[in-house]
Amino acid sequence: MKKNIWSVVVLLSVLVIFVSTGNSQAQSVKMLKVGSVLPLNFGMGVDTKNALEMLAADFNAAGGIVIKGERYNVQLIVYDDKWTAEAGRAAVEKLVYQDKVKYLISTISSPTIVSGLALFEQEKILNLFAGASLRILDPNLRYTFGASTVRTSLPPVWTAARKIWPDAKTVVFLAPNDEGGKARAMEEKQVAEAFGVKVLDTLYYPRSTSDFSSLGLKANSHNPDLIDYPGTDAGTQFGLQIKAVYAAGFRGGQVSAIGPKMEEVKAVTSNESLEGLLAKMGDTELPDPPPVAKAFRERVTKTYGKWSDASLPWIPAWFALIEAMKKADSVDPTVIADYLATNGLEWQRVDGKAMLIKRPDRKNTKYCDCVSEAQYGQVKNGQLVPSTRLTLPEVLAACEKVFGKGLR
Amino acid sequence: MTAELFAQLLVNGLAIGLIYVLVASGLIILLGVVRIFNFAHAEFYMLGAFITFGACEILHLNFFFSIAIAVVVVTILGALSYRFIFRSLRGDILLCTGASIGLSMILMRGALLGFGTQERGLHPPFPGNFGIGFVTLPAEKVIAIALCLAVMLGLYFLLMRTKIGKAMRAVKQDTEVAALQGINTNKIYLIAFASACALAGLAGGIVAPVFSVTPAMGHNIFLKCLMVLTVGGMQSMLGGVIGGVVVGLITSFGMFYMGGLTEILIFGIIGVILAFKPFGVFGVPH
Amino acid sequence: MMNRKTVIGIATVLVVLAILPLIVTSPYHMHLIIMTCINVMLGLSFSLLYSTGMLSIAAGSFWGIGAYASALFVMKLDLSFWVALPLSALVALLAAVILGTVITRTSGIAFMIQTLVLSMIMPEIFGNLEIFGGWAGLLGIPAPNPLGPITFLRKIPFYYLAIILLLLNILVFQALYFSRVGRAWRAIRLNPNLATMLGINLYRYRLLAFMISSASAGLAGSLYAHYFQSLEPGMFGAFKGINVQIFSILGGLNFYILGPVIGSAIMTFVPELLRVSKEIEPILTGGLLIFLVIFLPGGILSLGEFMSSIPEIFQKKKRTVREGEGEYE
Repeated sequence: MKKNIWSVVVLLSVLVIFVSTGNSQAQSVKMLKVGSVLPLNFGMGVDTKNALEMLAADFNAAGGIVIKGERYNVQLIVYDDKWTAEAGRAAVEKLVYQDKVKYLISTISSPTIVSGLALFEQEKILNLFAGASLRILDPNLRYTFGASTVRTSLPPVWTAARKIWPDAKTVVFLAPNDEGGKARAMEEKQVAEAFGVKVLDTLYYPRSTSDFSSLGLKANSHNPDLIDYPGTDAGTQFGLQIKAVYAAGFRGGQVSAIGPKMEEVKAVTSNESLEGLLAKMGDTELPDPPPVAKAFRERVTKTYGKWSDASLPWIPAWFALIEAMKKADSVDPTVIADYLATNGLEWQRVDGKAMLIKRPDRKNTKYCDCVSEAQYGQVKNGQLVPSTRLTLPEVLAACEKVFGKGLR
Repeated sequence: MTAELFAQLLVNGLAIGLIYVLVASGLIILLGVVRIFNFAHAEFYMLGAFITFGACEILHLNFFFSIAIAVVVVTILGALSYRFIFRSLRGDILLCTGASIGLSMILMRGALLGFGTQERGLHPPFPGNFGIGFVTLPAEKVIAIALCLAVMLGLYFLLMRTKIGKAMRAVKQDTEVAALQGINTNKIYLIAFASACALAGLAGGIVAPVFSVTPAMGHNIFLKCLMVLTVGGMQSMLGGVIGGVVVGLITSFGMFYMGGLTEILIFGIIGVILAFKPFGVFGVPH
Repeated sequence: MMNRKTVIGIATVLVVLAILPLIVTSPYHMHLIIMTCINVMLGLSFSLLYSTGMLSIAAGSFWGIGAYASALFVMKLDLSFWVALPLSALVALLAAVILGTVITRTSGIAFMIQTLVLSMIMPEIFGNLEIFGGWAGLLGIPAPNPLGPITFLRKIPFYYLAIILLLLNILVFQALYFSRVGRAWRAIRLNPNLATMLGINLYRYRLLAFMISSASAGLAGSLYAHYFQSLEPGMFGAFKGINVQIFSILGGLNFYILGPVIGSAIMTFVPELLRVSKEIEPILTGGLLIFLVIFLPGGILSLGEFMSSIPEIFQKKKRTVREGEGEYE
């Protein structure tokens, strides 16, 4: 018994000694500490981490950035949140208190960010969030901005859908029963109806579903003109849904606001079932990509030996941060945040230009969310072929149709 | 609800139920004979699917031959796991659970790192659909059903008619008496464990062309598997079949009517069943 | 049982705990310490069931019931945290009664599988009901109401709250283990048939253990809800239940109090402090688990005896999990 009490004493003392030794580092170059928390248990998390690390390394090698006569390099620190709030919160606390980062970019997981929002405000950390949560549009937040277009990707895709299927009147949604799925489905319903298409039903499925045969039957029994897949996973699960819907007899139009992973989708379903599917296309997937996209793709392939576009939706925050520092002419998070909130930002990402917008429909009249140019394609004979491209003004017009005026 | 729709949902439910039974059958043997629970069972299922995929799509071997290879590999892996991990723990449920949890973590992350994050699909060996009256099923599902039934029958014969099968049933019934009868219980445990893994891998290979092949696929089917066990009584094959049919049918009709709430529905129904039969439909107090 | 050395040991620990905030300055480390306290409470609830021979993976479920209940009591019914705290434990207890009447009739693996199913379903229930905030969960849960001059805005008051609740938990459990109830539990664990013959009603004692274990998990949940201040369904699934199990295996299964303490301290701190590539982390954890289970089934706390029995190892391989050597004897 006493042995064990003493072992606890020893453990406590070891712990105390460990935590009270601070970590001090002597810095020779001025470093901007940038942090990110990514789900490294998913492929997209790993790909995003790789892309960010590559971008940071190239940035430093090219000389970094000069603000007010001072040269800065970026020190990027990435932690894993395994998509859980507990690990995410610990990672955020570590980044802020231990590593003393001043900027947080490209964090994807909503549970992580939402649990840390108050912390960023309190410790004045500039947060350019990549994920889909709507909570970051809260007007009381001073330091948080949405740097990915997840919330604004729906109006443009419906513009494209309308061009392709001008007579469509009804749609059925298939969405996963989780936060993203439910949020996307509700948002997309609002958008579809703004474009004059009635949502007959939204079918939710448990996140881990593989067998969609019942859902396919249900969807088809409504006889809709279109079927849409808000919030779906981009890989084989998406393919399985299409397979089931086709097997049930549906032959109408299909829409997806996200870019599917064609290789995975085609592995589980036939080309016939995919024919005509309207989906987002990254610039890097075009047969003849624009220079920025092409250069990025080649760089990633050279650095890591293989290409994946999974990181594209999440890395715009990096480019936004650099551009924001330049435009605000400061490295102080507070100065940058206030600059962005009042002036907005336009910047170049890997796939097209992006800009910050206001969200008066969410009661936020500061710049807080973003839109970007949008490229769409349709599947023909198993290949995603570019079909429609929307420029920034067109995307803005589409968003204003749904969210109302006052975005820019 | 037309008759066609009903028939289709019914057949779909039976089909998926049969698949659940096959996946759970290995666990039923394990629980009955060796009386331990293998968390990594789902991972052996996943490995079976991946190996089948690899042999079929990359080495371009015949589909059935690929499944056979997968079964062999998974069986060896299972036997090794038993020999080096579980044999020394035999008896203690918690330690075996802990070890199998550890094993499942290693296998799943290993698969993710080894096979990469890309999800795979096994193209069906026979394209097209089979139609009988109102009902259509894709060919790969029909093959899967046929194989499931074949395996179930095979298991029946193995367990009832062969010497080893009878030995396993004897050990299941009463370990001490079986040992007194001269049965080498250690060998039986090894065979039972390896068989359980073999069945898991076999199920993985059979199901591979029906859905997709991903590192998380075992994880995804695990809950349904456990529900089959809970309803059926965990140690009886017949109970397993009934459990599978129940879970499969509820899933099929539940998804049609309730979508996302299906799992809660099954849970509720299980609760009701357990209230009347705490040990499952064919369960035995132990 | 209580000798001078033990008393000095306990006193030392209490003094260190009391002055810990003076030594630990980083809020990040304080966060880890508070999370460890909560995890220890969950580990204790798991151990309680283990002491009676029941293996539960549902620790996360009752933790979640307590957490959501507490959050709703404060946010929707405007109750004070200090009222919500015991009420949440009560809610978890009631849930345990309802569920327990069905599942505690079985034992062993069947019970474990049923708790596993429960732990997998619970997040679905939390996620599908709007009253729990759906899949997005609850946000902006208020901190505990101020106690006189003490406000709960920084970490330090939370630390003391967590430590006090933990110590209370330990005291109550310790008292239970020493009592007739505890002896009955251990008898059931060692040999259920013998216990029945001695007149112990298996079902009643098991249900009682299930109720107390769940109530304490619910209490930990209430603390967690108002510390973390946001809840989402994914936190309360099978993953958590399995982690809790690992605490006990790591620390020492037969040490019902110290086992979870050591185990959860290690599991909370070590992965954070070691900059191990997060991609390989589950492989290392899994490997460690297997290693422990085979070579050190008694957990870390059994190292003491293990060391002194090394000479015997060379003579003959002994693989027995030592029983009856917890500190309650």
